[in-house]
Formats: sequence, structure tokens, C-alpha cells
Amino acid sequence: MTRRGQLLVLAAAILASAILLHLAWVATAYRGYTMMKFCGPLESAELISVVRAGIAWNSSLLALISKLKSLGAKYGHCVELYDVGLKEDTRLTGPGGGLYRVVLENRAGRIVYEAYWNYTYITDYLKKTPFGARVYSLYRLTYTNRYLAPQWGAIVTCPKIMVPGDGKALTIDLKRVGRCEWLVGAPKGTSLTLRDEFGAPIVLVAHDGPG
Amino acid sequence: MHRGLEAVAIALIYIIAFPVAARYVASIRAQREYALISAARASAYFLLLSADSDAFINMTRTLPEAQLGLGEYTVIALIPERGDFAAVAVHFKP
Repeated sequence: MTRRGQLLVLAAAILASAILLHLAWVATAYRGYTMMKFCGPLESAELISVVRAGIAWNSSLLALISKLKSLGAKYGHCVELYDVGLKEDTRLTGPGGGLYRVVLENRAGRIVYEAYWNYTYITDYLKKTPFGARVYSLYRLTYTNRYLAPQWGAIVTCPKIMVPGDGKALTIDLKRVGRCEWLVGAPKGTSLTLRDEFGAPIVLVAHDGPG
Repeated sequence: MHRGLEAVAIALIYIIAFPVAARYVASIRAQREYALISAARASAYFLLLSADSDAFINMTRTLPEAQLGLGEYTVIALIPERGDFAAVAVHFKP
């Protein structure tokens, strides 16, 4: 082999190595789609938080998702995952409990937000208030949220519950007694609306029992 | 003599280049991908548990590899807040 031929082989080897490294870098790594965008979990979490906010704010879910999509495009999110169909929007409240269930579907699968609560009347008790002694009803309340998405399966949480500071003269007793369990005391015969930490209303209908 | 040196040079290039490429594919790239995947998953989880951007930021601060602001592996979480959305940028160290 001549000297020129050997240099050619050396140059070809260097070029081949450089091309291979470049292809490995471009096709599968730093500049590839999977590297720059990891689609799925964040978009699903955003959709669930939007549904949660829509219920708290009593706003149109599709309008909020549309706004999320325009912002997602601005910030480089996987906007195709914001193209959802609203498959179910159930909002039930009544004596003994309630349920919010919203099901969205996008190309990744079903995204479900559920908030459910139930409560049972325990007893009546007398409470001293600035307006004198009043009869209160005590309830045991269980409140749970469940978030489902194809990226993580199901996550069950027990959000905090708060008494809305809307200036009502009523004084509500509220104490957490378990992971998802609460004791709620309210003036007898009074229905009340609590809020979870995200703002979703939790309605307790007054107990009409004896006492 | 010259032929021998050139053969050694070619051999050296391959000896160095292939392990470097293999290490990159098996280790460095994996770490970087892991950083971005972790960033997306952690941000998603924190978002599910956060009522507002302050709660999200506080949770993010509990992760040593996460820092607020823009960086190499940045995730921007859009958090519903007061009728609008707050955009919080978090970047993760590989």
C-alpha cells in the first residue's frame, strides 16, 4: 500500500467514526425528539390540575384547556396531548356525599380526575359561640381525590379541607382525624360548603335528625 | 517504519473512539435522558399535589437536583392560579 493510500484509509476511518458519533448524537440523543421533549406526565398532570381548577372556579373546562394549549405551545410542551375529548363530566352532591368525575381522552389514553366525599352524622353537641350557646351537629367526613393517567396509573391523595373565609358569622368546627378523615361541626340544621385546598366545593347537607 | 506508525495511529483511533462512543451511549446519554425524564415526572407529581405556584416551588426545593429557573434540562410547569396560569421553570442537573 502506498503512503497516499494509507492516508486515505486513515482519513476514511476518522470520517466514518465522526459520522457514526454524529448520527448517534443527532438521531437518538441530545437533539432527538425523545431527548428534547419527554411527553406525557407533565401534560397529563397539567390537564388534571386544569380540571381541578375548572371545578373550583366553576369555569368551562374546554376553555381552560384551550388556554393551556396556547400557553403549552409557547413553552414547548407536547401540545398534541392537549387535544382532548371530554368523555364525562359528572358533578353530584347530595345528602351523605358527593362526587366530581371528569374523564378526558387524548392520544395517550384516558385522564381521569375524581373527587369524592361521604359523611355521616354522629351526634349533636352544645357549643359556646359569640352569639350564645348553640346546638351543633357533628359529622365524620371522608374526602379523597384520585388522579388517573396512562403515565402513572392511579394516584390517591387526601387534600386539605378548609372553611371558606367568606365572612359568614357561622363558626365551623373542622379537625383532621385521619389521612382522609375529618370531623366537622356545624350549627344544627345548617348546610355548609367547605373547600378543598384546590378550591373544589365540598357540600354537606344539613342533618334533620333528632336532638 | 512509517507503515507501522500509521497502523498504530489507526488502531489508537479505534481503541479510543469506540469505548468513548460506547460510554456515551451507555452512560452519559442515559444520565441525560434520566435527568429530563425525572424532571418531567417530578414536576408532574408536584403539580398534582400543588394548589398554587408557591406550593409547587416549595416542593421543588426539596429536591437537591432541581433548581428554579432556566437550565440545561428545563421543565416549565403551567399551574392554574387565580383564574389564569403561572409558568414556573425548573431545571434539573443530570
